[in-house]
Amino acid sequence: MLIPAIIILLLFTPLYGVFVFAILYHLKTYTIPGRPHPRVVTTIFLFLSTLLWLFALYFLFKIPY
Amino acid sequence: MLQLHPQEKIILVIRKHWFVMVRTIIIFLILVLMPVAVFTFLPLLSQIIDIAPAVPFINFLTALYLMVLLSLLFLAWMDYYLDMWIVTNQRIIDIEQLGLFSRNVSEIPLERVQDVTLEVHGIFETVLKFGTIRIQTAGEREFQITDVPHLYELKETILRYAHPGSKFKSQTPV
Repeated sequence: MLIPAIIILLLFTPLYGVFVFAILYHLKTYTIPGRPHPRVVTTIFLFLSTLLWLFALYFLFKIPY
Repeated sequence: MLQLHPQEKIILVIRKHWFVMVRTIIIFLILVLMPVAVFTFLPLLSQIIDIAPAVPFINFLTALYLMVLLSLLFLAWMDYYLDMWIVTNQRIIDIEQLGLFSRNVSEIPLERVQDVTLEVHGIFETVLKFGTIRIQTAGEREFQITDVPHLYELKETILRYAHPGSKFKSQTPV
C-alpha cells in the first residue's frame, strides 16, 4: 500500500497547492483597499493545512512496504 | 478590484449575516465527524479480519480527507468574505463571488433608488435580525440582497443618501 499512498500524495499535494493559491489570490485581489486583510483566517488555515500534511507524511512513513 | 469615482466615499460595507457561515460550519463539522464513526467501527472489523497493516494507510487517507474539508471550508469563507454590498455616497455596489474565477459586480446609482423594501421570514431571520432587502429603481431591474444583517440601518442609510433633504425616512421596527 506504500506505492499507491506515495502516488496519491504526489498527485494531491500540487493540486491542493494550486487550489489554495487560487483562494489566496482571490483574497489578495478582491479585498477592499484600506480594509484589514484577512490575515488571521489565512494564517490559521495555512497552519492547519501544514499540520495535516505533516500528519499525512508521518502516516505515509508508517505504512509497511 | 473596486474603483471609486472622484469624490466618492464608502459609507457602509455589508456582508451576509454570520448565521450563513454558521450553517456551513455545521455541515463541515458533521463531515469532520464521519472519520470518527469509521474509527469507532474499526475495532469491530478487526475481530473479523486483520486490519492492523491497513491502519496507517487509513490514517493517511483521513489526513488528506481533512485537508480537503479544510480547503473547502476556506473556499466557503472566501466566498462569504468577498460577497458584499458597498454603499457609497453615490451608488450601491453588489459584489457576488461565485466560487473561484467567477464574480458578478452590479451597481445602482443612488439617485435612481425609488423604494426600499425589507423582508424578514422565518424564526431564524426574526430572532437573529437579518433578511432580504429589495431596492426598486427608476426604469431598471429590481435589486435584491439576501441574508443581510442590520436591515433597518441599511435601509435608512440608503434612503438618506438617495434622497438627501427629502422627507424619506425609514420606519423603525415596531
